[in-house]
Amino acid sequence: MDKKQARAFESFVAESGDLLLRIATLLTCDVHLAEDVYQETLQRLAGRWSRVDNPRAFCRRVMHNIVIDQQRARQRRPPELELFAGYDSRDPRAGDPLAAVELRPSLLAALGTLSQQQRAIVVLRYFDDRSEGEVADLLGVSIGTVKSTASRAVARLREQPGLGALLATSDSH
Amino acid sequence: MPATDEDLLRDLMHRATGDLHAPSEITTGIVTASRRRYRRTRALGVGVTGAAAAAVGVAAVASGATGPAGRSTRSGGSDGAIELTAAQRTLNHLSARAAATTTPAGRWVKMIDLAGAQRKTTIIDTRNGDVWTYQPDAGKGVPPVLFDKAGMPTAAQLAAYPTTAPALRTFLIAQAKQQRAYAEHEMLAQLRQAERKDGKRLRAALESKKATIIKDQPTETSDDWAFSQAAMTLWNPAISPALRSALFKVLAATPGIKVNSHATDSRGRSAVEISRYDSAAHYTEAVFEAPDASRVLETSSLEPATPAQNGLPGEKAYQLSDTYLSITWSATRPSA
Repeated sequence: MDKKQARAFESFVAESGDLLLRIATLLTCDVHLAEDVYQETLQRLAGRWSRVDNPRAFCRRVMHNIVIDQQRARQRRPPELELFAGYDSRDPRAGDPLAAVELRPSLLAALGTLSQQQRAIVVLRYFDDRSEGEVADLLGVSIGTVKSTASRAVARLREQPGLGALLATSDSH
Repeated sequence: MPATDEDLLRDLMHRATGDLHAPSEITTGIVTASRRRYRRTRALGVGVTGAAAAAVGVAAVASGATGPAGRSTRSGGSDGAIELTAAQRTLNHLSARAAATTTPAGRWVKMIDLAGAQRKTTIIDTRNGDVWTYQPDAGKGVPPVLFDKAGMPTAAQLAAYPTTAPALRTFLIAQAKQQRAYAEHEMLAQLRQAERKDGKRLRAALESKKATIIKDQPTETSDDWAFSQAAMTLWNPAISPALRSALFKVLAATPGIKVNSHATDSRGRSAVEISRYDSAAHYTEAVFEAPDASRVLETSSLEPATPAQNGLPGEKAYQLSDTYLSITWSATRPSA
């Protein structure tokens, strides 16, 4: 990476870093794991920065691949039951901690009940606002699969006790 | 009013993560590592040159005629009368002092250095050129890594370097160009491999970018090549006194070099600072040599800050340095 590329890389991260970290959090359902995924993603991006046309699209795809790889690795170990851990309210980076600290554990726990593919589709479709076509392209599935998986995933989230209540009460906001 | 589950879900996901911000030290770490790798391509990508040393020799003879002639005209209108600058005199003194040093005995070199603020141990096997690194600061229980198999020239290859200044200069220039070609080749190969992993779509991007990769390479002059290659070779603790001595002569004959004989490195050790601005790479590279010409104490590169213009943000200055705290030799492989 020469100096000009380093600059461009830094401004890309300044612009998209928060979004990428948030996507990673939703994809992994774990704040700490998300930072690892985020770092690994940026490392891969930096490694071929000058050849990547659309860094954001590249990151989405790579992030999904990393999360899947990590899950495969984790499946070989006994599961760690720590659904509600991973948030430190004293973290100086926290912006709107109150809303987030209440919401995050239930949301991440609910997302955690989905398969990785369902989660990726929900996050890309509704959090990252990608079109069905883009999601299909990124994940290498058909548009029909994106549609049916998304609706099944949303229905499943509806059934989650914690999230079902939140979805019901959110109308008042 | 949000009506669908999808809208509510969107709202929840944003609210539940809205306080998360990407830590900037991750970016800084990655950028610094990439910058360092970029600069080190020349220093450590030398595995190929040993095998092709014969070819380099031929190339050196072929291009030898133009090098020194072009240099004397550029260094400034002194109709043939040789006038040594203060910098050249200092470098000649270093050359003489270097010739009087001795080569330590042993097969293994252990260097402890600070790469920026990070302490690391590098072990070089001078017989096969393997480079091992240990980075105690990189995290708990990080194992030693074979950083670069046959990454450095072996003692036998170094012994085959020319030790007269003009021949060494042409050799170094040819070697640098060959390393660049090799690095480009490797980069493309890695890219192809990565793209098989990350998806087919990158393939098209690669094809369209391939031409620009080659085209975008900065165009170094022979003097740029000569300086950076000589500086990098000087850093290698395994070179002989005769080669060290010849390297200072090559530096003395390279235009644009600045020498400060009363410098100190970042640890406050007295040193002779030899620096040059590389107009292709836009940075100043500096070598801090021990006053007795026995070893390099520190290497650093400084990229100047540039002001904001055309609506683009300005760039802050970058300084990368490697400070060599100790260099020890041994007959058996040292521990970290």
